Amino acid sequence: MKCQKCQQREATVHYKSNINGAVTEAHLCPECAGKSGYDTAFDPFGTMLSDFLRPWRSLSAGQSSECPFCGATEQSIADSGKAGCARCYDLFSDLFDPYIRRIHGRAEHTGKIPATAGQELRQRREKERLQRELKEAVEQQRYEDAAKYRDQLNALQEGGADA
Amino acid sequence: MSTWYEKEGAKSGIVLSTRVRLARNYTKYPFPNRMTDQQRQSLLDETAACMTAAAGGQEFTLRDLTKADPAEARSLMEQHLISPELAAGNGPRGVILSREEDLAVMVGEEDHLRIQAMGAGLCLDECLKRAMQADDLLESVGSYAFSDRMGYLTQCPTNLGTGLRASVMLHLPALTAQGYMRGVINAAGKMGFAVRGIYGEGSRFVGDLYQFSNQATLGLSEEEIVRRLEKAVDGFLEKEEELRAQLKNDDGFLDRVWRAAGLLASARSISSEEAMSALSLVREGAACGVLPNVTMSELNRLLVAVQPATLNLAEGGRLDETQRDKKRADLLRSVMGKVLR
Repeated sequence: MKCQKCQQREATVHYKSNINGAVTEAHLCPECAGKSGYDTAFDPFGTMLSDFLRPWRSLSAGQSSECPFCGATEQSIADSGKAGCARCYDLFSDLFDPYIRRIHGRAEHTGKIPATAGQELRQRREKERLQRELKEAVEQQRYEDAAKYRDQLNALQEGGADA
Repeated sequence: MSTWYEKEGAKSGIVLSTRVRLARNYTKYPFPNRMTDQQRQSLLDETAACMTAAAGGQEFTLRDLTKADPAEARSLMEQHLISPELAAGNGPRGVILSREEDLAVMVGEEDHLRIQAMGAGLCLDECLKRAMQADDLLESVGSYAFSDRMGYLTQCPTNLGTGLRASVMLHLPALTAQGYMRGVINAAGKMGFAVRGIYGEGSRFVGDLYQFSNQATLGLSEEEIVRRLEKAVDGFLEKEEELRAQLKNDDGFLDRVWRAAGLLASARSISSEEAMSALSLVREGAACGVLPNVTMSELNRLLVAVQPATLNLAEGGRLDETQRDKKRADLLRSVMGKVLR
């Protein structure tokens, strides 16, 4: 559905009210909705209406947001219970995270780390460690140590940029 | 004095086989539910090239199922080399098999790759090692889908983490006959293991064969998963052994085993279901030392060979049910005939 106002972008904000039989409907894109005040400001009923709008907005925004790599949508994932590609887990984390928690609890991966993806992981962990050490050294005014950690961090970042 | 399990090995009398599978996906393609046929074909070509080039090119071969006869796919399923899903699937897909058929990489099933290592008896560590080696090899095809927190990313969130499913196939006729299985299945469930029938998910129990496998894939390391399964299975093995030891001198049991052996050694036509339940009894009897003239490996082989599609394929054609039942009886007589002599 196209936005009622600009007639160009996809309408993702749907507003419908029924006040004593007078039905008002609005189908707008996020931009026009923001300009028209349907976003948050225009709100004759104060916070009540924005509370009412929120679930509508998130659902319709989800339906139209599509994974740029595989084309999966929130709807297709909710229907199948399956991710469309590796990126979907990040993109639709709101949808997956509660589901994953229900299956696996709050567990995190402790098993094998692949060589290629693992290289980045190991580098990232080393960087985090050096940053922690650096902060601690500065706090404790151990400036020689701090300089050492800074050099190591720089070397790591340069190495990372080369790779 | 040697007992039955000293001759056959404590585990092989009960544990038919062990299987370890890893679910893997590459970042360069969408997951199978959103792949085009062209992408599926590329995936199949690339992984097959990677595996068949390894180890001098002798070790692995591709069985392309894209245009294969459904009977061939079904037979591979009965031999536990592929899953029912891959057999029934559509589009470019296949399985890369090692010469010994102890490693099978399914391509284009629920995940890009399902790396499976299989072995006879209880051999979880060896299977895990073999699957991991293939995993390392296949990583050269592309970067694996992986996240720090969620581990290996899979199409279905239930397999996230290690992507590992370790399973053992147990023959538990004594526990079954004495009504213990409901309790065993409940206990296994509480320990985090699923119990399935012989063909995995959704199939019923045939021939007192049960497959035990881990449910959780995230949070434990591969080694921990395998250790826990081994520990759980050990408990059930012990109970089955205990019950079998009592059966050995039970006249009713001896009578049932010999009748089953007699049936298999003399039937002229037999359905796969009847054959499976008789084979189950005979296998139990052989494991208890009641039938000395037949080996576990012969019986394990029969359990697969009597399945409809495998039988059909071995006969090189399309047998109808009546012909199949006759062929099945012929095959069983040829092996079991010596037991009565």
